[in-house]
Amino acid sequence: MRNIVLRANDGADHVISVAAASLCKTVASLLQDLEASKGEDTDPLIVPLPNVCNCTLQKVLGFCEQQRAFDELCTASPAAQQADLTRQIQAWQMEYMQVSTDELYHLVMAAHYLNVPRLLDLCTDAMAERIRGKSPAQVRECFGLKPSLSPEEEEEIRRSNLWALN
Amino acid sequence: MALSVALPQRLLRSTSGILLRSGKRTRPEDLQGEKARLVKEKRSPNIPLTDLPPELLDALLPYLSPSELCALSQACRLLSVVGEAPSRWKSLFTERWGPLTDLHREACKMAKDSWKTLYRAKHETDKMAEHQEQSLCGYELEAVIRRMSACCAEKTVCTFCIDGSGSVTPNDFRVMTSFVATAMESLTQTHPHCKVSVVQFSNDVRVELSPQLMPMDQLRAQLGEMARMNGGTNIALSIKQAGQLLKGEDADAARIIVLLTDGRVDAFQGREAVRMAERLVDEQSGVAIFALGVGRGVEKSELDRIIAVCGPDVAASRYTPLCTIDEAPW
Repeated sequence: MRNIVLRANDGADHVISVAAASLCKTVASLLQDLEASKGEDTDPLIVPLPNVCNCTLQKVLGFCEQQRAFDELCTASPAAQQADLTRQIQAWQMEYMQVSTDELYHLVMAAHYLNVPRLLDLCTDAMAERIRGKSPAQVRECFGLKPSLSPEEEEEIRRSNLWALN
Repeated sequence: MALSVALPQRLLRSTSGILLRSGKRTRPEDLQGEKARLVKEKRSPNIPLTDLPPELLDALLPYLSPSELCALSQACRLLSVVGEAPSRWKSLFTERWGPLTDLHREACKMAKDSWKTLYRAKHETDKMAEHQEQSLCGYELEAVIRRMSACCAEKTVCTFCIDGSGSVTPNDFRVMTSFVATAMESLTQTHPHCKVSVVQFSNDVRVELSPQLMPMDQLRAQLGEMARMNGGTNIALSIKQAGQLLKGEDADAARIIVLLTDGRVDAFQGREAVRMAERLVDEQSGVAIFALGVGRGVEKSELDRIIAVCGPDVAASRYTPLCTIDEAPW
């Protein structure tokens, strides 16, 4: 079995399993192309990721490994335990998403870049969750936005959106 | 030999990554320090949400409700555009009001192609509903009237047959007369030579207004004074009466008949109504029959049979539930 090495932008290497790497569609398709052209061999595949930092890459790989483990558990467990397992997965994901807004930003970018659909869904859901129930000022504060609308413009938009608030 | 591959260029768009002290292996202390730095930042993020590429901002939208989208729109200039997202509002519309109909699409055109505007109009109409009735919003009304207007010619006579039977509530009756006023106001704007006539029917039929060109304020006053007849629902009689009124009009005039009714008739009356409609279409030219459902438990199938006499292909676009409650009247 070929080893896969993901290299973060600072040169730090992470060896991951093929199973976990298959969750990253970008890496999976690279692997496929490689196998199609060169056939099976055991040279390690090194994928440099010049725009993913080590910390984020670590986090992404943590997700892939854990999801892979959950997937195996799901197929191995009897139907009766599925609900319990789903609860466990949700709890883990909730815990996993306890990150700062900046971290979340990097994570969503990496998930997009490496094309990990499940992580991307989780991240966008978490971002939406941070928007939920917030006033425009709170949204700005939470996501580091500078007010770019004039007070008059903001008032106009507020007025035109009043209907949606009740 | 280690094999190093480059990712496709497309994927190499630069993003702001966090730089660590360069080291070839992951060192736990680096991560620890990084974590601490990020936790400190928790209160004031350095990277604004709007730095996300558009496709990722769009990916957020399916998770947001109307009120959240609106709050987002107010936060900054870029998000005010993102929050308008036509595709998201279209799917919110579908989630709430079911699969899109042709009328929805036509109404959206009336709302300057904005699903958000149409969503708002439907939302407000629904909120005003007192008896859980399903009413058309302003844009949908416009779309219905536009369908009628498409049947108009240089000379047009429009006959409204209003159901005054016992099963029609005073509220339904108001809805019908106000629709007539709205439709006429709009039709005479596009077709100044459009004449209007109004008949009310129940067991019997009464000509409320014979075909004439009438100023809007007078028409409104006339409609306001109309008293409901009460009784059964004899649609056949009203179609017969409409036929008599239209007979005297110019041969080349477009003849539009608009039935406003719950369509609750028995099988015999239903057949009679279709027979009358067939005779009318046979004897006179340029006839178009529309049906608007009003009230509880509207019998759409009866009305469909009547409008189908003008051709089965047009029938689908000529029935509209104007203000209906989806339950039996008793």
